[in-house]
Amino acid sequence: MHTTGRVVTLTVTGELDLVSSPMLERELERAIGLDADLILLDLRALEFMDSTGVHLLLKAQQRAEQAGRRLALTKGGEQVQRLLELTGVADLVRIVASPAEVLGADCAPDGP
Amino acid sequence: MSGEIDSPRVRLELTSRPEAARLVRGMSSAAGEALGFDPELLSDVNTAISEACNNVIQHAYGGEPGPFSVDVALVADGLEVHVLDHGRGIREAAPDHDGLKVGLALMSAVADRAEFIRAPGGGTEVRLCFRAAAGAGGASGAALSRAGEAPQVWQARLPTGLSGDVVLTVSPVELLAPVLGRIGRALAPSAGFSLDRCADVCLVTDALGAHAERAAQTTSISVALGAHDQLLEFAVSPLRSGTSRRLGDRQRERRPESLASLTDELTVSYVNGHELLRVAMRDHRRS
Repeated sequence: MHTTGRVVTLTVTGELDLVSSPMLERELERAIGLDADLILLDLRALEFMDSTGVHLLLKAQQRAEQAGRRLALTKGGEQVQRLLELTGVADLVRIVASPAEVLGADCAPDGP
Repeated sequence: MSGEIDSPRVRLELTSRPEAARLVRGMSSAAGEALGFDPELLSDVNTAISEACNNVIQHAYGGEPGPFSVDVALVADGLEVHVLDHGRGIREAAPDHDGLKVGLALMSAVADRAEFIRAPGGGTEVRLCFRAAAGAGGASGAALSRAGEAPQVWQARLPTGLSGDVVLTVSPVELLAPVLGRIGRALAPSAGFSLDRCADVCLVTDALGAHAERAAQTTSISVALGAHDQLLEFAVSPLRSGTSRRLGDRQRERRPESLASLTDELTVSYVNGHELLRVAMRDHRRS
């Protein structure tokens, strides 16, 4: 986890499944508790995700909203992206091509 | 019995713990890659197979560990996957569970056919069918596949008397090295192995695969794996009588990559008339 301006970035690697979801859930809770505007989940190095990960992302989106934060994802690999689209997560959570897309906007002096 | 099995297939018998789905994905990925399947198809297979395993892990036995098996078979026009447990039927166990609904929907979305069947004697059988695009599956897979073969669960059990945390069965034997390699690498960290010793695990699974290709008694082979505190065990059977004894001869087998050099114990026994080779690896750096 690292912070750039008002953005907290969590980089997720390997496989997001029953084994690893509880760890990411704890990290997301920590990130939501920080004083930031945007939480960015960087999924570019994520090799695999199952429906446990999908639930986690939807729950994180809900929790972030409740805490007055925004959540965004960077595009994952093909399997991850297909899963996000099939389950409708891609329609509910903002997905960007790269961290620069949001870091630029949120770090600019006159940014949102 | 193995003469009846012509088409490539792999089977994993294991316990429904959270990490089980990773072992199953390892098996399907390694077999699919060895058979030259399209990466997109394999990705869908892994998505669906993971949801089927998650249902067993979370619901079939009320979240407790229980036995289940996964079969992946190459058929004339694609892949057939069967996931079988002996627990409560998943629909009875958690009819309104959101995760279950998403899992079932995902399996139905990525597979060309998904069936959820109440297994005889209790439990659930999930059957998933994936059609390969023309030409996918590779020449080896196509040549080995019996055209028009009716998909069936691989019911026949090898009379090897093997037991372990995980039992892998593959046919043809050539699939053993890649598939066992992936499963061995996945299990080694859970045995507490260091990175160096994990690298040795790859050499051992390669050596066991090569030995099985020379010495298998039939067209299929089974390996039981056990992962414990700083100990990884492999038991391979059925092998032809007299083929494994020389492997343990440290005088003759001095090559650093030989089984005798890489393992701590190597024993040969006979179970139900079949030769069984058992090797054990320890991580001495950790002990």
